[in-house]
Amino acid sequence: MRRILRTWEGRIGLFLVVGTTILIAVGPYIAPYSPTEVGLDQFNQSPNSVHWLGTDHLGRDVLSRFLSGGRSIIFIPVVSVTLAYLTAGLVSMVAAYKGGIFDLVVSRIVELLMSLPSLLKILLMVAAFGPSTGVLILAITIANMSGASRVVRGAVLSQSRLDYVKSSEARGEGVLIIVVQEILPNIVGPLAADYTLRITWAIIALSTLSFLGLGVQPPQPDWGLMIQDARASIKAAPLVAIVPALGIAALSVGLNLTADAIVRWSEGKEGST
Amino acid sequence: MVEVIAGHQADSRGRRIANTIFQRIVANAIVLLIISAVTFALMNFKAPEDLARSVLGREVSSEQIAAFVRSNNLDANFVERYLSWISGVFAGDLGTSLITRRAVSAVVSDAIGRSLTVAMLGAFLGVCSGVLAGVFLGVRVGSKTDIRMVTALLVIASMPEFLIGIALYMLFVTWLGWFPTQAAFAFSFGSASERAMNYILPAATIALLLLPHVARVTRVTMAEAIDAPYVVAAKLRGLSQVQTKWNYAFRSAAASLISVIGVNLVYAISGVVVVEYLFGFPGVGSLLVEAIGAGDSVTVQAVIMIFAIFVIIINVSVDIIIVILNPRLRYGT
Repeated sequence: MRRILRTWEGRIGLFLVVGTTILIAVGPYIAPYSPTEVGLDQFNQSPNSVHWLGTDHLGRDVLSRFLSGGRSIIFIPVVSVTLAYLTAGLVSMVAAYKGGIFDLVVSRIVELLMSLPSLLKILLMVAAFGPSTGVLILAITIANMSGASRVVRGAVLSQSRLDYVKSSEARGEGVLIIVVQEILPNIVGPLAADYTLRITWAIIALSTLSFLGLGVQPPQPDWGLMIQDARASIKAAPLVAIVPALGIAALSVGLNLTADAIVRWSEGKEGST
Repeated sequence: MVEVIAGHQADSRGRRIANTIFQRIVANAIVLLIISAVTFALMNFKAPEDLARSVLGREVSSEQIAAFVRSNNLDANFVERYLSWISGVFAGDLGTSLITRRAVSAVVSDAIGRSLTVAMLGAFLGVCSGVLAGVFLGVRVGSKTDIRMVTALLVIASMPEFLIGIALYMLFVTWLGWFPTQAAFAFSFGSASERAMNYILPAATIALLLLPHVARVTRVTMAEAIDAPYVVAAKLRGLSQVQTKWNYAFRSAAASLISVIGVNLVYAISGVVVVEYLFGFPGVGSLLVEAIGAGDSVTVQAVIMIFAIFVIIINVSVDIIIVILNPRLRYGT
């Protein structure tokens, strides 16, 4: 962790990520108004003393919407990517270690899944099942499974011929134990970097979906949705679009920088072995 | 004698390349078939009545539902429907939209020309500027300009596509007013030059999507290639800087560059969807978004298949180009 902080990327990245995350977590509690309360007599106001960031086209307080709109953006991606790693990651770890037909079949299936661009896969699933939270989680998980699978497979393969693994095998340890207790701690570096990158990507994908109207549904406050809603009255109330855009940008740029820093850190580690 | 042997070798080399290419095409065709099956299954697993209801709404009588099901052939057996759909796709008939009742192929062929133009324009701009930027940075690795530009590229690369699009939109449409707010208007009522204007912003957004990734890879491969022994040897032999750079350093980087470009093109296809929707550009992308929103499963299937076909074409082309460029790969599978 300290080594991440040493690079300037790590510092800015972590600052952005932690800052935005705190904002997202604490936001709903300090929001002055309800994010969904409509006030049609006060729409599209510029910032004033009552509404610090103005109001949107339905008279809802922009500040409150912004403070409450980050939740969905963090929750769904984190859950999905974690699920993807737990399922695909575990299967690939075992497959890569055991090799043989199992590995071959799993690799073929993964290759198959990878052929379509992820957004299309997600769109397809939303088209089939509707844009509810569960479906979104499922769709993003599936979209990430093949990528996570590949990374895990590569990492495991780089370790499976090493001596400490062989000595575990000689001791008679079971496959699952070797994979989880011996190999896993040694591949945390690249996995962590990929995990972070995937969450970034999932955040982008989710806000894109909400922007298209196929993700989080109104009147829930969501940053992507806010931007889309704001387009109609963008000249009158540009802040409604700018503020959530900054939020999304801060989060994605921050996560990317952090992921970069993690990659540097893990590379440095491997170099010293 | 030597010529005869060399001739034989060249022959079998040609055959090996053709073999590899053939294998790739077949593998990709199988993937395409599987994608079609999965797509169809996903869009049609609901009972016909549910499909009807998602189009017609909830307050519909059972006679209306039954009429809808009959007229759209939704009561046939699942496998039958798949087979008739797939054979239709090969023949160029993409089915009839559940919503507009028009032939999907007609709607799609209009839209696809526009989408392709935007995509290719954007891809061309993005790849060219990316390569140029990458070469520019590659020879200056570590300098202040390099560090600053790499940071800028990182920021652009981390932003979602629609944010980049919105930024361009706000700047050029809202603030400066250079472009109309809804591109589709010009396509129905505008002149040719008005229509042409509408291609610029979407293409620019797509270019911005590709630029950072292409530039990053070009930069790295350029920097590495410049130090490679054969490049140093060329410099020692007295070739000019420019010649060294372009003839030797760049060529070796080309193969990995092509594959990265291929990956990014595939990614750009999904970017087209967002960009079209954002700018109101009447292409295949916004068609897809509308169809999903309206529950028009026939159109959704068709558009997804079209996207899949393009992805496969790009993948196969990249594979072929790489096999041709890299002699080492010609002897493997």
